[in-house]
Amino acid sequence: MEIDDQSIIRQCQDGDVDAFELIVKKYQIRIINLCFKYTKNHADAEDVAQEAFIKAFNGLSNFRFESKFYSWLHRIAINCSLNHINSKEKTKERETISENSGLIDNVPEYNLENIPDNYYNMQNLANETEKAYNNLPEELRLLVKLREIEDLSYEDISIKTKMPIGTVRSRLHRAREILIAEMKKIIKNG
Amino acid sequence: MDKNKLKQTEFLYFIKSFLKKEYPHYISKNFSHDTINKIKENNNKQNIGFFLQFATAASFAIVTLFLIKFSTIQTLEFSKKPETIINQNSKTYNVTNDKFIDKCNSNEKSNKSFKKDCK
Repeated sequence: MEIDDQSIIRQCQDGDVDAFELIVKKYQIRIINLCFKYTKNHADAEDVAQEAFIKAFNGLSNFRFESKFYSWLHRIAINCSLNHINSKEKTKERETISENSGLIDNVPEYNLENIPDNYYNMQNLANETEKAYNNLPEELRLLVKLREIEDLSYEDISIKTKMPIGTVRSRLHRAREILIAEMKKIIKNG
Repeated sequence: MDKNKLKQTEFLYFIKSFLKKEYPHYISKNFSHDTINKIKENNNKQNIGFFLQFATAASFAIVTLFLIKFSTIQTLEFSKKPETIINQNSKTYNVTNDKFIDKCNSNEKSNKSFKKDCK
């Protein structure tokens, strides 16, 4: 279920545009969230994130796997965000913003009740996902925590929990399936 | 790309970001689809651009070749008149007054006046 960036990127480099959709699905939340920290506006954040993904795709032939793909994409997204801020600032005839001054610490509150149908209400989904996570059996919850929150490798989890690596993999797979099924239900009823 | 796999992937990474509490307040359901469509659109535009560039270059080359061929190289036209044969035995004449010099055409090439006048 987890995606190996390298194999997908090689497919994209060979001209398979559709394969890139998996990459977009994988990183869309992180990139939109990153862009939002700069643009302070959801619509702009999505536009800038889209621009970043398009630039990344067009530059894939130059990607040499010397760094992690996400680090590279992250850098592109920051540059796009800064360009967006600078172009906005120019129109307002203000001074150019430096990289860090574009960041904000406190995200302003938005009215989450009037979200259009073609948008996911992420706050709502997050709350429901947390409930589903808390309802997982203890051993599965621990594995999800170690893998998804603490980013440990399967080997490290195996050592820490004293479980065979195969058991770690299969239990994590089961836990993910439960959570995904729960999310599907939430979205269907949503 | 398998739609079910795409959805599974999307939800898995939603869950990961929810558990890490790093997510925007809302995102478009069609974000990835729109992004891919835009990439495809750009690719098509690029391909059309390349084709137009190639077509322009090719037509320019053809026109140039055409112009070179028909404006600088003139075809040789042969006269229908029979070729004039230069008379090897034409008489010697004085170029200043266009008069024939009889003594130069005579066979007496050994005498002194011949040598002087017919040089």
